Amino acid sequence: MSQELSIAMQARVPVLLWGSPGTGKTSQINALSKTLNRHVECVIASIREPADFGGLPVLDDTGVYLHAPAWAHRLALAGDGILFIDEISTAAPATQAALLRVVLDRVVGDLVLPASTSVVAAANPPSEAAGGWDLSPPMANRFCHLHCTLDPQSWVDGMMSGFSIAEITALPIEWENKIPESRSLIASFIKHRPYLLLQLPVADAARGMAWPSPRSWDMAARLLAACKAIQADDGIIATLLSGCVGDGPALEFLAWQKTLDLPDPETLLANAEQFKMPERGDQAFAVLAAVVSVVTHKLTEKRWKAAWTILARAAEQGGKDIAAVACKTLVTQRKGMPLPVKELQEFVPLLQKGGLL
Amino acid sequence: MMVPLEMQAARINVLHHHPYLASAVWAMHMVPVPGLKTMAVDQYFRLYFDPEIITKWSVREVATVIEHEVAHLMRLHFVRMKGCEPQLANIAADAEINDDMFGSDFAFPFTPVTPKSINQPIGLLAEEYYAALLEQAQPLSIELSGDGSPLPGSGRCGSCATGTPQPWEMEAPQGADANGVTPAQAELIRRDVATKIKASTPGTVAKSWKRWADEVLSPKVNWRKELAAVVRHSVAYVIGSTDFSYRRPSRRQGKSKVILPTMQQPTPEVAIIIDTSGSIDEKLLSQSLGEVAGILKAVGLRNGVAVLAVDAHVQTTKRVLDSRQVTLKGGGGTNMGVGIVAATKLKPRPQVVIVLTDGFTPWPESMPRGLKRVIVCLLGVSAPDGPSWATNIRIET
Repeated sequence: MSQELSIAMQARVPVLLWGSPGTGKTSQINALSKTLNRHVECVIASIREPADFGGLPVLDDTGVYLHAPAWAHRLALAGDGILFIDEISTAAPATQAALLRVVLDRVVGDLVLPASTSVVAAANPPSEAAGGWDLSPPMANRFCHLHCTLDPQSWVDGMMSGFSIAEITALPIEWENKIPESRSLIASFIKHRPYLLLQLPVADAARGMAWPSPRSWDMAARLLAACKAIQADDGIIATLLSGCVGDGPALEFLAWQKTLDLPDPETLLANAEQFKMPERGDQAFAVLAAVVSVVTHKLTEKRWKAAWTILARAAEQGGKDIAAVACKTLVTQRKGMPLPVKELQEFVPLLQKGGLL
Repeated sequence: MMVPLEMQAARINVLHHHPYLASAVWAMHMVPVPGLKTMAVDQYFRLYFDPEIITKWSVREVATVIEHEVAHLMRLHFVRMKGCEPQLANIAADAEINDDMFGSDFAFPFTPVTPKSINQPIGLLAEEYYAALLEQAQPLSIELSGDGSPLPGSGRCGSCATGTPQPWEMEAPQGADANGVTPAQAELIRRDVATKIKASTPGTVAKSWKRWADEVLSPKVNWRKELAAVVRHSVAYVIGSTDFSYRRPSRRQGKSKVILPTMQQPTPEVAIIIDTSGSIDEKLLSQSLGEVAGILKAVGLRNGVAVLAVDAHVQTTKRVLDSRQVTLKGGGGTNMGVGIVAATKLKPRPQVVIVLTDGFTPWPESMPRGLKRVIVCLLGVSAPDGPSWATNIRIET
């Protein structure tokens, strides 16, 4: 949890922490700001009014200026401070509307906060907050949503022996160089699934949560680049992307990206002798299934032979059972091709034992 | 590591019968544990097996156990049952899976737990079986071996069913090259299996797997959650017309030259219209009325709401603070339109109207003037759609 939070904060993507009252959202921010050695300003949105974020109109010799409150000036001075907006879901809708510009563009009244300011907000789920509103979809779309979960065991450990502050991985200075790469990755995903570019939430219960839009995909690209720069693990990437565009689209993207990592079946057929099986069984199966499917789609004697070579190599490398399933499909769709006796012999005992013959 | 021939055969046997499980079955990491005497799976897709026992079981038996354990992993029992008493949790989870794992396709090496063996109806969720097991004074008519060794399908499956790690299991995978499947990878596998099930020819997939896939790919929203969100929005939509006013000085006025406005919030008026015609399901009605009342209280309507009992005419109108004060009269024909029009004539005039009905009623052509939002709660599975100008929510048990 704190890993994801620190990555998003360093990548300057606005974060919204969801969690029941008392689960340590505020203390997490305070601990993180100490570790990162950054100034933090805590503003409780529910006791503010729109002018606190939109700027207070003040008369001057030349006209009316929208003055920012003191916390904004302190943040501007700090340079790379953290703006922590607490209780955002209990703020009145008019106040939430005034927050729109603060969150994404970091503009308070006439004052522009430095680009290196991070924005973090916290909210109680509407069902638990007294007098809570769901966030409006435009507001929800400006955040990466992270959910604070409580693990009783680690809390018990923390109470007994003190809460440890999680190790924070700092983003390398040149992490932004990875952004173009992750942007083009996401762009080509959207090219395949254009309907996932924009999906306004239909169900009322989902309106205040993450949903895909060009803006949230852009935030997802930033976070993906940041994750790649520090080689974050799959779980962290999945949490952060789901937080931007919602669970469904994020998982679909990750699944699509996984198939990209697999070798191209045509290249494998061209170099059948050098075939090396992926280590994970499900990936190996996906590769072999892809090989079988391209071969049966365009059947020539050369490709047919190459496919059998690949299956034989896979069997040698400990994937005999995986290859056997692919072999069965290949045999049933052979369309008059001669069965290679030698290679097939290899699989017959196994297929018989498994009840496939 | 070479996987023993029996295990290889069992895996391809599973896929021969149920090809849609491919990515889950191949993602399993094989861990031989000599002396375990049986097989078990942990929550990271690692299958622990005794190399000796699988030569004694038939291929179909090993395959059945694999498929049973995959079902635990796919149904997230290790998340759902975490923190429960492990043994009962495992039995409950087994009962959920095994209720349609029978017939010639399956062969358990032990007597499997079924809903029948714990005296429960089939088709419930593991959570429901667990609650029932807790209530039963002497829950177990099933024999569980005393030495704590796993009995896959019969109440001891390893941590894939309970989330509680067992002594023979390895630590959670850490880092990229660790053995086992991380939760994020598992989620992708789960979706892949669900997509394959959706794409399979009808009739080749077991009913419970099909239900599971539907749930994964298009999760159903609980009507309570949806109702709460809609009511909250409607009330917020009215309260949210927060306006600037100069009737009172702003609390920030001070000595500044600019005259600042204050904020004012109109309090919304809500009316609830209850269908009291003969055809209504009273249990659903009182449940949904209770929900609505609770939500309104939570959003801060302290002055009570007007409740109208309507069949073909308005029978009673009463201002209540608590849903227990509601008296229901009626029983004749149905016309909710009469009720809505009557609500617009109340003083103070409501902006939000919530209608609880079974849907068999005429509706006005358009939303009556003066109302800002109408929410129609349709009770029961067979209720026809409500009017398009209102927000419709289906309430089913």
